[in-house]
Amino acid sequence: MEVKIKERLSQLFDEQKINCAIIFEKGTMPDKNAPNIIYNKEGLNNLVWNSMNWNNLANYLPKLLGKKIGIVAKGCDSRSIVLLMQEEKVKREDLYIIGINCTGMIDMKKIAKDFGAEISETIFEKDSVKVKGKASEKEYKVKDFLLESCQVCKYPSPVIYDEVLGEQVKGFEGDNYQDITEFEKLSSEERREYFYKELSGCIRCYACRNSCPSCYCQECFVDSNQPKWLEKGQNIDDIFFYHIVRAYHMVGRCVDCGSCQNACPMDINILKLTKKLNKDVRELYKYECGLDPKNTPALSTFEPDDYNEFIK
Amino acid sequence: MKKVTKTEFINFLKKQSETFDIIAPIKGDKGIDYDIITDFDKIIFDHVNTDRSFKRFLFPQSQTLFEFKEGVITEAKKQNKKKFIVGIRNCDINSLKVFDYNFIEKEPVDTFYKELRDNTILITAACPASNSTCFCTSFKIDPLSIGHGDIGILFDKEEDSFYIQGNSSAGKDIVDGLSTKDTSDFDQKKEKYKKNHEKNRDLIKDKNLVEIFQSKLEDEKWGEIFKGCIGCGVCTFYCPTCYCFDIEEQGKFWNGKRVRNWDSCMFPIYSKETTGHNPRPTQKERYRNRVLHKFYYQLKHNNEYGCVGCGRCITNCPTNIDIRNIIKTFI
Amino acid sequence: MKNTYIPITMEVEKNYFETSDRMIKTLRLKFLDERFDFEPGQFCEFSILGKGEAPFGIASSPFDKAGLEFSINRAGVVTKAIHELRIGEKVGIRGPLGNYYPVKEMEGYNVVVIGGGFAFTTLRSLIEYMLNPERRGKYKSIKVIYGARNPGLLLYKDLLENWEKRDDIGTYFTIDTKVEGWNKMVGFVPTITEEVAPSPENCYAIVCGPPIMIKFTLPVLLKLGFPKDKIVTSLERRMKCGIGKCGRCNLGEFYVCNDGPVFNFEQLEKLPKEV
Repeated sequence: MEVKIKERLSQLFDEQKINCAIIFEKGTMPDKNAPNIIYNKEGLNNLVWNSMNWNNLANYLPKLLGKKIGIVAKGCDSRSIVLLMQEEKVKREDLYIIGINCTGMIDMKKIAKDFGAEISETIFEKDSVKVKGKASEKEYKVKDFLLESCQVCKYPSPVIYDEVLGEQVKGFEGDNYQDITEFEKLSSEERREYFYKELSGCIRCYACRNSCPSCYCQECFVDSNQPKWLEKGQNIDDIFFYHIVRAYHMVGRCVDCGSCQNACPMDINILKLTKKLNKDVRELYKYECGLDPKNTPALSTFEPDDYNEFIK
Repeated sequence: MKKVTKTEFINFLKKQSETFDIIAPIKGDKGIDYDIITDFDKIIFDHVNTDRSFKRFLFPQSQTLFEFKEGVITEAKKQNKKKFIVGIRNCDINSLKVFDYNFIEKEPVDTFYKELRDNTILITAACPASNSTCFCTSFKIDPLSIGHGDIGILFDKEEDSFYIQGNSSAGKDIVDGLSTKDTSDFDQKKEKYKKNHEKNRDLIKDKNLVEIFQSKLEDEKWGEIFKGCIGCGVCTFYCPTCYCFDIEEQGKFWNGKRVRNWDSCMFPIYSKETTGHNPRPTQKERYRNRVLHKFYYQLKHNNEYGCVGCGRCITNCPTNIDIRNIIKTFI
Repeated sequence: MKNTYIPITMEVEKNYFETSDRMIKTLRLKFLDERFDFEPGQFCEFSILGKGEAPFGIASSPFDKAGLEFSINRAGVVTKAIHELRIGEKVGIRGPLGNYYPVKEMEGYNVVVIGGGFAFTTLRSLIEYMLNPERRGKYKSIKVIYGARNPGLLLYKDLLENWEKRDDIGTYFTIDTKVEGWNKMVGFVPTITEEVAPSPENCYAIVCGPPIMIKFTLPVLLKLGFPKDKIVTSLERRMKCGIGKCGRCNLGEFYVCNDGPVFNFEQLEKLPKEV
């Protein structure tokens, strides 16, 4: 896979079809890879493709507006590209999308916990990873340690691409919002308690916001002081307010890539909020975002004969 | 120096808890981190380092500077319970050189930091091992030292015993009451742990970073090294030496308080002016500022690095920006 | 030990629009129980409880001991609240903060003060200081070049008229484009500077103005032969604590609040280009 991606991007640079590319590079640590933007084919030397590439690369597109961009896209990345096209943050003709049929990304934090010692090396095979420490070694099946979002991913294959690499992968066929259905059964007090406990760890570093491709506002509402929507301290209600409003800004715009949660250094379950709203959008509007660029996002459409009274 | 058994040491901490809040590393959902201790048997001593540094106990993420009601200003209520922080690693304790300089030595004195600092007993602990992300030796920090803080300890897991030494006068007073076993094997024990620190790399090797960076302020490499940086605040909030803060008004109009909160130079809004002009318009300038502040500005003015080599920014960065590579790039 | 973040209370004594576009208001504040002295070029943190704090250069003369004057452009939350203040209302002030113009080093030198737009506040403080009978003898010739887009946008018009009448200060007031009724100079500050600036020998140039003015005036001064360490300016930066703690206002190795706001160009040249 790696070799093919390199080959293709190298050609695209040569043919001057692209002047930059968003790729993953081999990280400086055995449990991380590094997303990077490169501007020539020499930059391809460190390119890597394995199951640690969880970052959503579409996140970098709005900043590169106007350039000819080559992008390596998993299913979720491609859905974000569709969303950004719909919202006019990127033009299809500026993109060359190398789609990757994604077999799911691995939760290295979970593996680190299981492994128990410092990881000194990871070796990826087709569907497993060999983890080496100073004194021990263990092999993990990728599918047993998938990231939460990848476990229930319905669209592992790119929905938009110029070419696609890898074998066709079957998406998750069950109900991907099963956990939310369960969560909904709790009383409102229990749910509140859950979120207060979960969010009490938030340090407001905004890694969730900044790793999200849909969060591209020039000025985020948390940074605005005219009007000032919320205070910046560690008051739990402000933290709660931030996460709820961010989730509401995601209504019909979240592709379930999970990068917010994966970026969180405090391991907060942010997906509970966004997934609940995604579930609602699917039920109320029969809409899933980031599938077809010709569609308009759920909350951006209006029809005069809408059956809802309130909207008329 | 004294040597006590683990049980004796735990009892010693329990006794201190009558006067102090004992803060020590325990295992939480995520990892090992400092917390106020209620169950003394849960304290962990043999870890490499805590998930976060102890910075938040001396410089809370959010701190009230004063309160006001109907236009009348009053001092904020303070928690006066003294703190006793156990198990501070040598990298983290060195971050206080940065904090003390900024908040105490440099006029005017920041009373909030000083009060917390004066009311806290710091127990440093020799580090049993280094992680691959550790590079404290770059800054002439000895990970096995027990000579910093009020009290220094070395925990020997094999024997389940502690070597303990009072450093400051307050620390000596506290340690005085302990009975002791023979401590003559201390150097031997220390030597034993030395081999666990082979991974700890000296990246600077006596190079003069002030001179190096002075000539590289506009180097084109600044345009590359920040790579996929998404501009979140993880590195700065996890950093034991980052002290920047924002001041904001909380509450409504005439009744409220003025509060300071941690801030991050990685955020665009950090330097954005009211007019909309931003002197550091892209992540390139922001990242350069962070690096130069740590390895040039502070070094020039305070003769101390703004980095202690704890590696937390490396392990927690969501896009794998590695400060070690940045040092290597420029020297 | 004193909590350095608590301001002293002062009372609004006077407030009036300074410019014809009603964007800049001058406020005179009266010292109440606590007071302080300051040097020309220093600034204060001006605090409106419940709204916040913002830094402003002191515009009045250090010899004016009863109060402080500020000329404040309406831009954000705090400045909007300041514009809405009424006479008799109480405000908080922390100061004096920062360093000041090199008034001691300038003794025995000629001085040319070059200002543009509403960045003339601390320059006014400086000029009034130098013109004070106690100080005037210490400086040789004093020249002032001051420009604005149009006559209505010049600050301190009465004062400017007074200076024109004196013979111990040379005045060159200019506007960008000609308007009816204006009988002084017309042209941009850099151009006027080139025409009327004194010889660089034994001379300090104090320059304050919008970035674009600085950008074009600096080369003129260098061309005229002013040494870089004799060209002095005062900078602004997003600032919070004002006392060198919060780290917000750093410009390269300097904190603008503590090491500045007054710098010479020899210092600025060695910093990353982040103005």
